[in-house]
Amino acid sequence: MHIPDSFIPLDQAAVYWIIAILFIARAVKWAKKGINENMLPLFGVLAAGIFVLQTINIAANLLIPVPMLTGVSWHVVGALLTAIIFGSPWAAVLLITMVLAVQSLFGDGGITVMGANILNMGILGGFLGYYSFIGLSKLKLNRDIAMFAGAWLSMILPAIALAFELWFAGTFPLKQGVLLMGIFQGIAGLGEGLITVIVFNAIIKARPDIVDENILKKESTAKVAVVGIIALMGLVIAAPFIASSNPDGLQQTAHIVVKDELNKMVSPITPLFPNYSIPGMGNVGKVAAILIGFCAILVISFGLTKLIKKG
Amino acid sequence: MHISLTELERETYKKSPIHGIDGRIKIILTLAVTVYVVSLSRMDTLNFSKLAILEAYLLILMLFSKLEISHIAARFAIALPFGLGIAILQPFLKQPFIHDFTIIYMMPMGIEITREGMLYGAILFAKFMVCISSLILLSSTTPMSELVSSSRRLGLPREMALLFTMMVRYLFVFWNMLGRIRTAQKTRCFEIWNKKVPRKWILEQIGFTISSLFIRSYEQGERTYQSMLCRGYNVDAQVYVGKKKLKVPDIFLLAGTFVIIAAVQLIIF
Repeated sequence: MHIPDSFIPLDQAAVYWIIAILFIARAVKWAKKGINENMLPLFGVLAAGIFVLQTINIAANLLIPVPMLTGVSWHVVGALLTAIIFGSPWAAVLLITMVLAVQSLFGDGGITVMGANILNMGILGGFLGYYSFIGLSKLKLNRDIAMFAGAWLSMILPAIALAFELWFAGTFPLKQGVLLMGIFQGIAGLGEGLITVIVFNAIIKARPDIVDENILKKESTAKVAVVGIIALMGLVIAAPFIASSNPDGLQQTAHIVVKDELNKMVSPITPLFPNYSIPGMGNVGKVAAILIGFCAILVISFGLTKLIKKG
Repeated sequence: MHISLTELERETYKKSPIHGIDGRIKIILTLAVTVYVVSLSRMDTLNFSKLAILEAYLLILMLFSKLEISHIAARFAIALPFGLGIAILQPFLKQPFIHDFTIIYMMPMGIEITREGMLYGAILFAKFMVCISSLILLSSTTPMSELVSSSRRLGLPREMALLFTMMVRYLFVFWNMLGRIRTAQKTRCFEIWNKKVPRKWILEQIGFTISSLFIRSYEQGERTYQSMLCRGYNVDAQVYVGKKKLKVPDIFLLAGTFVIIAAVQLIIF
């Protein structure tokens, strides 16, 4: 999942670098303050450990024994694991950045595109995985299941982001990219989830003191909701570009069975956004229509929740 | 093909004219070549000549650096899969920035091979190879500790320099630790491909290996931090990086690289 040099043009790579640098600077600031003290030396040593454990390649067909996966392997990324242990996604940003920098010396990921790699694996993997775990735990889901789901999301969502980045770069078509990356990282995510749960449970038995156990109390529901909304908005914006233009099963059946009648039918209501789009605006109209719909659902949901609470 | 961390570091301690060049110069060289190569246009056939000259230049430098051919081959083999995988698919894809495609072969199921796709794939792969070559040259001729100190001299923030210094110092400790864990597992006949044991059990063993490594790294980090505190470390402490003057060969190599890049750009158009 490490993008090599020359796969993303310089101008786009520079944008990813700027985003990455902003997050790294914030992560360093967080590590200097630490939970109780300056944690920079600890992170330096731990990054070495994470780098080494990322060299443990695991065969993908150990998880799903199908011939298609023969010769495919994956390694643990550990973004969610470090974020949970230190009780902050900034830990994941910092550690993954350092690991990626050293990996690039091995040709595993490029220099100009390191910003994009940090954005995918460290920032998106760390933040989305961590807040998914927190959100699911707050919903009283079993800790191991929440962790498994968080780890899986920390692999699949960056993979989708990577497919978009390669599409923006003109290097790979979007739908095929999302499909291929989704399949392989989806499977790797299963492994990441299982290993994260096994490793976390082993750590909590051996050294319960190093795990920040107050993370559920520390992280407010509002913060989790904000991250969730941002992530969903990202998916909402992405949806029109990866959605199929073919009709769904019901529409297709209706089209085949009652074609003539269907053509004669006139809807009594003119939809505000026919086919989830604003006519004449192309994909921008689709994104705008879906975003308006998404915001409307959010407002209605919050309104109803408030009403129910008052009642 | 496989290359270990210790094998990589062993190459960096060889004695050669390139190994002796200042780390800052090699970092700038790598960045200059990579940025130039990435900035080349995506569909210009002249790029092949430009990239061939740059690749030849890097291979000559590798030759002077007395690197083992098997080492270079192994480094390329490790880096290749993802880049090659994406480049090799290009002839079958419709690149969004290309408007007219010339179909040169029709395959079953409507799959088309296009001339433009082949050209783009070939240029992409050639660019990727030159970038990888420059990285291999840098990382095979410069010890990691020198890379960190040279980066610090080039302006890497002191916090990042501290983090990388600590990381590089303990990388080999944990690498050897993993080697010992693997040896211990082998002596107990642990085999990841063993089909006679349940997959769940194998995954658990891998998980335990990772947790053991994680806890050991964490504890080493704690011990290191405590000992640093004992020696007066505080939040304002800096990693000491001595001054180092550039020598004539350093300036010669740097100037030579820029001259070659400029010549490639100006002569081939």
